[in-house]
Amino acid sequence: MKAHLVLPAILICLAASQCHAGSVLSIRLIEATNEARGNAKGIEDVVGILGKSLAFRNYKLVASSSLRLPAKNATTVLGGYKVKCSGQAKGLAITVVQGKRQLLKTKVVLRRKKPVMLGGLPSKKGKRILVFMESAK
Amino acid sequence: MKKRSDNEIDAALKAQRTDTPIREKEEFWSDFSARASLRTRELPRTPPLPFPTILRWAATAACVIIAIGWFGVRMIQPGAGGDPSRIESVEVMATHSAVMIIDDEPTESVILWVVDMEENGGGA
Repeated sequence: MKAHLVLPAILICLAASQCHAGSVLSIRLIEATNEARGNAKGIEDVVGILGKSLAFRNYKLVASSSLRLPAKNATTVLGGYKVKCSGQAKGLAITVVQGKRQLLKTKVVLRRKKPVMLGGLPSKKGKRILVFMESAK
Repeated sequence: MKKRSDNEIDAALKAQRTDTPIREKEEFWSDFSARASLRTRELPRTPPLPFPTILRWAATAACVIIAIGWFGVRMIQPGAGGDPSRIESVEVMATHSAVMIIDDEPTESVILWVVDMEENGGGA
């Protein structure tokens, strides 16, 4: 086979695969408390944003999960909360359920590496926050 | 059909046979060499491609440049459109006192905070 044809064919296949590649939605459950400073491992990218905007002293990662986008009624369980996601990053419907009780529903526009955080979820020690972030596959 | 005996078959074959003279070895091979030198084995030629070589390589180079540029732009871009993430709609079913939306401009991220969400029981 001619070399002139092989290289463009490979590049076209790579480009086509990129066009159809989805992205990954990471979901993290964070506990915010006023205890002495703790370990921010796993949430280094968002702890600064939380520290600026909220009045808690300590943020700790409780659980994390990920799923592919676009999501079709995908459900993930994090620390006693059931999180249902549906749609693409540009129009993601999120439902947060605790036990049999729906806590909140929201529709968000997620931009890559720009998190959406749903906070105020009750916790014994403080409050809990769900962090949603889209990243490339 | 009448079955013929082996002897009859032999005799019939001998009658049909024509005598061909047995050639000497050297005569046979010299004749063979002469015939071989007359015939040349030519492999079928593939017809030349309609485009000259330089144009083919130019097209390949153009594909490579376009692909590199496309991949490069995709890797450099921070995200679709460069707009911030945002909350489009919210419905809080749990009992609460307020909902706050906090936009963090430097990181273009957003926090939706439900104030005083009830822990158990109470729906909105």
